[in-house]
Amino acid sequence: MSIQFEGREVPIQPGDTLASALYRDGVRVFSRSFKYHRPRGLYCLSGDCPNCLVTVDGEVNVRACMCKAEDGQTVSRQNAWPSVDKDALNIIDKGHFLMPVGFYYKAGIKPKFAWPMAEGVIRRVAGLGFSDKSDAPRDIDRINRHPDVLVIGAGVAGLSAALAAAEGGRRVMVIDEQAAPGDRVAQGPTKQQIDALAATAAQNPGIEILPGTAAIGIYEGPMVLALRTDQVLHIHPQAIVIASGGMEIHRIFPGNDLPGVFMARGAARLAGAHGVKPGDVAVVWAETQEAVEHARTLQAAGVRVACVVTAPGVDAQGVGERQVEGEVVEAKGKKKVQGAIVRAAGGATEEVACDLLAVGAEIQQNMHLPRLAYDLPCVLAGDAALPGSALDVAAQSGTQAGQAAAQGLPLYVNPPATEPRPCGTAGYVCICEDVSVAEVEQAIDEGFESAELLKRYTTVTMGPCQGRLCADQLRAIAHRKTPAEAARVAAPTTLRPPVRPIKMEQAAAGARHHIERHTPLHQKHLEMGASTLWAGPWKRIFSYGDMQSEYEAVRHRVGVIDVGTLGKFLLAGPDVVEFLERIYPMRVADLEPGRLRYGLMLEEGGVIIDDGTVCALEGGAFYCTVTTSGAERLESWMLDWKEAWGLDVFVVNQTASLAAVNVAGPHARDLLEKLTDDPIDKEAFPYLRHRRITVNGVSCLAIRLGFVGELAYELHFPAAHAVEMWDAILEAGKEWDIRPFGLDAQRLLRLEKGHIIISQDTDFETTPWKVSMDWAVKLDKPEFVGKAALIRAQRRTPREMLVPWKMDPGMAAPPEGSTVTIGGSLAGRVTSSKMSYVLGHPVGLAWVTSEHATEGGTITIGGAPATIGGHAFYDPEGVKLRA
Amino acid sequence: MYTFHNAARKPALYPYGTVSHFHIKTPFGYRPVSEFSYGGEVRPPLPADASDEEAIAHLWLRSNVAGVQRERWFHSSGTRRWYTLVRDTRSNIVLAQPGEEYQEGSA
Repeated sequence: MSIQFEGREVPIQPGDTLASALYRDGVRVFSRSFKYHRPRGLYCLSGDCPNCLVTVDGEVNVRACMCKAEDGQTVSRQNAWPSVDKDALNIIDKGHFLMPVGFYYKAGIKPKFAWPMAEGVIRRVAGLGFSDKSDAPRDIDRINRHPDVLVIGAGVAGLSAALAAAEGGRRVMVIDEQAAPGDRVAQGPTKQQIDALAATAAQNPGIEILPGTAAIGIYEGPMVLALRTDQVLHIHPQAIVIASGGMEIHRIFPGNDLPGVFMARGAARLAGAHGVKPGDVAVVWAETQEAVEHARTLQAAGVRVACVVTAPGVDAQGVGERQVEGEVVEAKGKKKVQGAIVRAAGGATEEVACDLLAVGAEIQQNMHLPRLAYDLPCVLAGDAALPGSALDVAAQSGTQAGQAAAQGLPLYVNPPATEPRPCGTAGYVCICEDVSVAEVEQAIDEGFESAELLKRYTTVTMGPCQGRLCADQLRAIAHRKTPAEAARVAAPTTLRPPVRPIKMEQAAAGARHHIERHTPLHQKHLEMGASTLWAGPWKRIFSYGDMQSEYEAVRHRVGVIDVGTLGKFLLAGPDVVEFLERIYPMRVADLEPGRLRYGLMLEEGGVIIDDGTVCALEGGAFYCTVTTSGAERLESWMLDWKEAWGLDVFVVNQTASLAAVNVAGPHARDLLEKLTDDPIDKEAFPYLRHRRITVNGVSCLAIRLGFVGELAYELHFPAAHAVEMWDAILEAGKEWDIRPFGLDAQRLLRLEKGHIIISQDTDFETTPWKVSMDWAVKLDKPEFVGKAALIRAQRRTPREMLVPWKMDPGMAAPPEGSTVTIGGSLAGRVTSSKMSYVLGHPVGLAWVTSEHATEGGTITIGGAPATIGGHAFYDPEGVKLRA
Repeated sequence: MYTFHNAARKPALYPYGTVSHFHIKTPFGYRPVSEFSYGGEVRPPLPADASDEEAIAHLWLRSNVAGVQRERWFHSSGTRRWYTLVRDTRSNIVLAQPGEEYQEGSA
């Protein structure tokens, strides 16, 4: 088992992360720093610092300490030239004065032309790896989960909380970043307790443990956003227990970023969990009793612990070769740690030679998630509540938190703004963005006094760690420099999700989960080679490959189109007539059964939002169709009005349960007569009527409409019969060489008739007056939606009108969207435009300023002359559709 | 058989409407707000004799309250009905679920 690392093989062992495998193999420098290209080695080993970002199989910025090593991975370091070990760009470190704090803002001003070039260089030098732009993003699933209680963190406190909450009868979900609970904890009492708790929890059916799941944000609801390898979870618990632990404070002293300086937990993790010696000779700075345990772990792994530097009250008796009460003030060394300057409590300093400095600083809580949970039902437990607590205290706090969550005690997280702890006066505050204490102080001298401004100017806290290491330190420096105004300058900076780095593909999780609706005939169309296009949530048929032959079949013989996507509603109830009279601007009450009428739908402002037909059925019910994209919206719209008026009406949405096809063309009747015994001749079934007829053995509501301008029967019938009906129609139509036609052909067919398509030809201020549809509005009705606005709109002439236009034969159809000019000045725009095969010249629709919108007038479209027409160019008397 | 998850659930930990939960009461139990689409604030109908100014305000202006608001939600991914509730827009606390009386100060 091995990984490929920069051209050589590095063996890996079970349980290895990339960091432990590479470290065992002798790799000490894992990255070069962001600005100065200083060598950086492993530091936290908990995924909190930026030092081990590597490129794995083409994926940049993978945290080596969090990434499980797997056979065959290709790993390389980034941000260095020619190599991380010998980085020529380290020269920048020698010239700090050339890159002062705020370099971008200061250097990027003059001369202006130079900046784009300089920026290119800076991007290259400061980049965090190069992403593979050819890499296709994966589709990441977005999944909603609804546990009763969510526990974040599967440590001692988290697992205790989970068990207590499950005991209280709640369904509990536990998420943890690590691959398994206690995965990276060194052998010892903590590990033993985690293992025992995890084993008990695994037996409990009320607890679900999801390792490898990182919470990155908490939102109102509460909703917790969590990342997994191939999923993004939206967790909607009723209560949250945050047991995300704590971490050792990032101590600042000269040389604190040298390879070989570790957080003590990190060094112990490497030695105790992975069996890799982090160094040969160690100095351990133990500010806590826990850190003394880490020194023991190092000793057990074979590290010579030369000196344990203890804070007052810490007992390191018997650990290490000697013990000094005091502190570490500097790490010596050029490319790695070679010694530590220890200052004893008395003040005497000495240098202790070592190649490992383990800093076991005071524990601070991981405040990211708690601070996002402000004002939400949330309980803190363990280190997240009581940083540095002993095992039994952590377990107890977890149990209490779990019980509180299970009982629904209204506990809210409201973290107090504590004073920042003092921090060192020299060294690197921010190892993500390479900012030293001196640079922060310089920025303060320049006037950026408060932490919030310093953050923006110096970019401290804005790197990959998102302030985990440095947020408090930044406040401490601001506090130190301007103590008189501590409350203002040292206030905590605003914290925002995500608290862990997130990939673009994760951010886009679920974005491509389109609802794609198909009619029952969709597969049939695809088998016939159809191309599709989106129409609202539907995939509709654009063409079967040859639009012109589809078109000609309808005009000269017969064609059939799938119109099953139309919104189809059955309306009934005592008040249905009154309801429809108010919904539609035209008259409905006088519609006798068997008749139908074209209807616009208007919103309160008098703007057209949809159109369709209303059929009066026997027995007082009505059948209404609306456009494909309007069905969803209009259902809620109608129901809203129904409630507003308090009318007794039932609205049944039959859009999906009914299929619909339109058989159109001069031979449409001949075709249907082969499939039905019912009379469908001109006298028995004239234009603008509907009848229930049996076609191919299926009872259909047949509607005679003229959208495409030919004799046509629109058949509505149960969707289950769609395929056999389609096949039967195509079979019966063979003698007239029937063609199925798509939207492309339909759009030309209707354009020749001057019929508009709502939302293609209309916009958000189109009243019926503007499209010359006065005939579809009856202002003498007592009330309908939009009436008052239409009366107001009548008071003045519309600015522009929608008019049909045609060009001379031989001209090409201008693109849709072309501008319309009259006498050289802008006068409108084209909304629809196509070459008419039957007429031999382009036809279309356009908005034209009202004073020019007269029949016979001349307009200019894209430089070519066009003539404004009447309402239809093809069959203006409507003889054909009444046939 | 499919059951709505709320039906199978224990009583709510926090009484809905007392914390920042945002669930809406339907005949099928409390459903998360993500199943609904917002229908805006409840407005009185425009009187027939309204002036132009009143009509314009009715059509185009919303009060956009920071506080207690009576509002409409359509259960688009569910019961396909409208619900009217009272919510504090600052906290997302639902002060009166559909069918409940809202009394001022009851928050």
